[in-house]
Amino acid sequence: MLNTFSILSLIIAIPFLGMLFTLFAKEAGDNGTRNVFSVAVFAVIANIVMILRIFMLMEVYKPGLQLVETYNWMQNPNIDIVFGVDVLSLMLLLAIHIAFIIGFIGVRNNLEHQKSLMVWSLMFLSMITGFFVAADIFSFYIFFEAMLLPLFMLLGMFGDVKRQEYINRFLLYNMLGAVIFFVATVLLFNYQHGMLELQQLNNMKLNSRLEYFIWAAIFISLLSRIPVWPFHYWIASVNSSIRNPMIFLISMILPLTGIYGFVRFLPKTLPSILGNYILILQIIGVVTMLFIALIGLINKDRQYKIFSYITVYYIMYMLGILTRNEVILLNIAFSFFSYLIIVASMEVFSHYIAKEQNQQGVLDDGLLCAYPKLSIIYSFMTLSAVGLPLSSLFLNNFLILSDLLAVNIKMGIIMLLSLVIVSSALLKELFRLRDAEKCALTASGQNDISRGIFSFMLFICFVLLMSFIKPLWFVIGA
Amino acid sequence: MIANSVFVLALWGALGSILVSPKSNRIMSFMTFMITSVIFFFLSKNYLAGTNEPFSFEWLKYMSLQVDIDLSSNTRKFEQILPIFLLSIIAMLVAVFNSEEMRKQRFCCLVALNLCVVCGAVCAVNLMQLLICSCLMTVLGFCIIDDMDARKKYAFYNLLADLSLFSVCSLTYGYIGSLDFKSLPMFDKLGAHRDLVAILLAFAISLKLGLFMFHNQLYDLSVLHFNRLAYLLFCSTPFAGLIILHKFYPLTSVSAYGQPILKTLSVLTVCCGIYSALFMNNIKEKTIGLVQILFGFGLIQLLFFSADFKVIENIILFGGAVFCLMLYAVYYASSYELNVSKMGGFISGNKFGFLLQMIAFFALLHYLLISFSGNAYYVALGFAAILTIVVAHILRQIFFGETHADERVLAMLKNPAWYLLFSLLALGGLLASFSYQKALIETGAMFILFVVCLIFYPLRKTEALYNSELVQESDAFETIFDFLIITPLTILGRILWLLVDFILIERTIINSLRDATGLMIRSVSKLNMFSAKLYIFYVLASFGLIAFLAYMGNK
Repeated sequence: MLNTFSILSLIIAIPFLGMLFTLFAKEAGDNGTRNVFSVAVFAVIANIVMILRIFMLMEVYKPGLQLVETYNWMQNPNIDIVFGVDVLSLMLLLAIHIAFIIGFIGVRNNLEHQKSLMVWSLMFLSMITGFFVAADIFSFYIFFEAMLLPLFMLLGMFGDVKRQEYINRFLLYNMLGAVIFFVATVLLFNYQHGMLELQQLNNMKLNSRLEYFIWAAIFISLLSRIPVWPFHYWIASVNSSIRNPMIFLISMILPLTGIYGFVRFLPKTLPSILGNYILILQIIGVVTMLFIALIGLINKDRQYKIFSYITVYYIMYMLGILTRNEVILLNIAFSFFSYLIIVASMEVFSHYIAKEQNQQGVLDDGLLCAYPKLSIIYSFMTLSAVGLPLSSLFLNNFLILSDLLAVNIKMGIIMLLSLVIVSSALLKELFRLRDAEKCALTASGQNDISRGIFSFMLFICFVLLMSFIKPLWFVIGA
Repeated sequence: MIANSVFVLALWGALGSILVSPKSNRIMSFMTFMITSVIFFFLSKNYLAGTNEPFSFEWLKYMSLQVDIDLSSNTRKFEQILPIFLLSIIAMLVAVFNSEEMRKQRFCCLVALNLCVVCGAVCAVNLMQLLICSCLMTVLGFCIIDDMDARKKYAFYNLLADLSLFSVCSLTYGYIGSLDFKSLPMFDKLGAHRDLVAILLAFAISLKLGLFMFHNQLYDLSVLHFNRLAYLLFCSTPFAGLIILHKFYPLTSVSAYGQPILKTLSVLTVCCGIYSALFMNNIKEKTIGLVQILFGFGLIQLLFFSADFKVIENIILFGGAVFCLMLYAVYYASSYELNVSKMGGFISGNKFGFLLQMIAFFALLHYLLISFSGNAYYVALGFAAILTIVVAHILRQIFFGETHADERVLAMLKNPAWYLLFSLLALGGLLASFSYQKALIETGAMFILFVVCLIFYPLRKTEALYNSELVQESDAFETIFDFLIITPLTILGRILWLLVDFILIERTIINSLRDATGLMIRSVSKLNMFSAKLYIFYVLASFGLIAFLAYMGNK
């Protein structure tokens, strides 16, 4: 199907159009208008509806990319842009969109540079949607790099006093990854004498020297996005310096692109050269997990604790993907769905707590006792995050871990230990926030989250619970 | 029948937990009590009729995983579920009528939900169903505990237990490829890392049951309302521990470590329970000590003598309930006096209560003595003697001798509330009904021992320990865990943070890269400076390079 404007293109276009509308929308004023916010939220909701429609159109358990769209971009050199989705990419897209709605809720009252925030966020959403539907190496590369621009701009606008330093790190690591990936793409392009669909990578035969270089390049560029040692440092610095939940969310989603890259690039049957790389990666991965988990345990910054939780889980998913087990991939998709929503909610409400703490001029010990609705949501999210059966994290992590333990027991044990440590850190934080004896405020509920947000978050809790019962509960006949 | 009961209770419990209103507090809790009682009645009827009713629901059907939810009814399952139902009804009854319980509706609904989860755990035919039920019991227990300090250890210990169990299930499933309990014995042939599996399992069971070393989580619960404490002690996560032990029993023997660890811990738990029951001043901590003795004893009988699980469950559940109600009755009668050192001479205002307590206790002893044979019987006999001495010692301090109570307590001394006495009588009657004329001599001997202890009060010197801060306040295992686990992890975390993040990455890699970039920029800037000398130098250097290449080419 050539040059047909179709549904996958549409889900890239909707946030982009939303961005354009937002650009021309009226800024929030004293009269309470929220045009910018409303347009942005509408664009995301519209895209969620489209994503749900795509779920209806596809056969969810069928392997391989579906609803493939091909656009001939250039004749000489011959470059085709190919889009396609499978259940993994769609689940991730749905989770990201829901996380964006939660993020927008977190910044709805933040009127400073609101338009810029919404515009760049929607641009990021459009780019990352493109990234997840990209089915050829060229569009994959374009979207992989294009999504850095909005984050770069957001960091510059909303970062704290040390933002210059963090932007330097951000550029240093990401430029390194981008250049290496670009070289690998060009080499592959020349080697194949034309564009390459990602599915064809599975069958690609390379000569040994080229193979050695290309896989090293792809691994390093993908790893530059994932918080494994030493790449974790730029992500940690950026994440712990940002006090805007929406930008934290975006920077938290960025490592997902690296993880997803492994899903798309790793062949089903690994060439021998990759065996060494994967072993090294496994060692670095588990060491980073333990390392970050320990730092998260001792660090008093709540944001860092959330970051350490995010890191440990990302690495676990990465190691799961490296096993190249199709069933595990499906479970990772289901697990990721809950994981992204939980982390987004925790970050948004953690930011709310910090804001209230500043406004009330009190310590945050026991603060949740004065905010009953917030307390319910935050507790639910923390308990889900630590792995209790309240979301799809529980069952799907079980399967991922059982596979990883069977593959390598030592790696599995370190992973479990890291999970225990990050879970303990989150629980400890919850108890501190709910310690009634240390609460300096009375439970008036005056500054608690509004009834509307509470209802929405209860709906999100319901979505998570349903994902535990059946991950694809919203797909009829799945 | 079990499936229907679970659906009704789940629906009612969920609705009741959400729609909490101060106006409907008592009515809703009473209705929950009534609904549970009616269900209990029908379950008992079905049990007596020997009903067998299969119920299996296909929950998940992945390529790699099939999980069915089983809630089939049969006599064996009824026997395991009915005691929990009875104790839950007693807990609800107390909650409805006790004025100290403020959030009646919430508590009763949580108990109803917990009953559903217990049914799920008992009926589980696969690892996943049991694992989920165990985790849900942790969540519900967390909600029942209405004190933040008490929640801390409970949550951490149970989280660790659930994660250990999670790991055991993951490992087992990874090797045998099935979640069915029937397939567990296959692990002995197909499995690897047996030591790890057995140790993790023993760890999970010990944490759930609150065995020695992990018992301080139970003692932290002593700040709760007596009724909540009693319920949590044996109907919540400790019961989950028992079920886990029962269902995972084949895995305890796949390694040389599993059973010895559990056996050692159960013996030490009995010792720890005796210590607490005798030396702790707080009446709630004494209760926890008595329940611990029962848990330890139950495990000894299960692990050393392969006793019938049903009997052990009855002893632990009914015995625990009897002890809780006995001491709760005292606590209630003395206007909520916590310290046993401030009691004594309560018999004058509390004769009826004492009599009922005696009946219930001896009914329990009698049941305990008739339930075992062979070597297990002698262990039970010795254990009954220990229990008699401990209980006689506690009751002696409370009911006889010189009173140490405040004037206010003495003036307000009354018989316990009707619902406590009724519950005690019901439990005593139930235990007595299990046997008629067997083991009467042994029970009589225990009675004599009891009277002797009451009269001669042989352990009177232990009273001095009530004033010892070391005994009453210290939490040795918290200090040990803190010293051995938490502090090293914290130090390691700090070292890694400073050494790796700051010194290696920030100061070495990033700064070096920045400096190198700066140096490169400076060098290139200098090279590009407009200068006649440099121009001549570049021209000469180019000639030199050409000459060198030409020379190398000719060579």
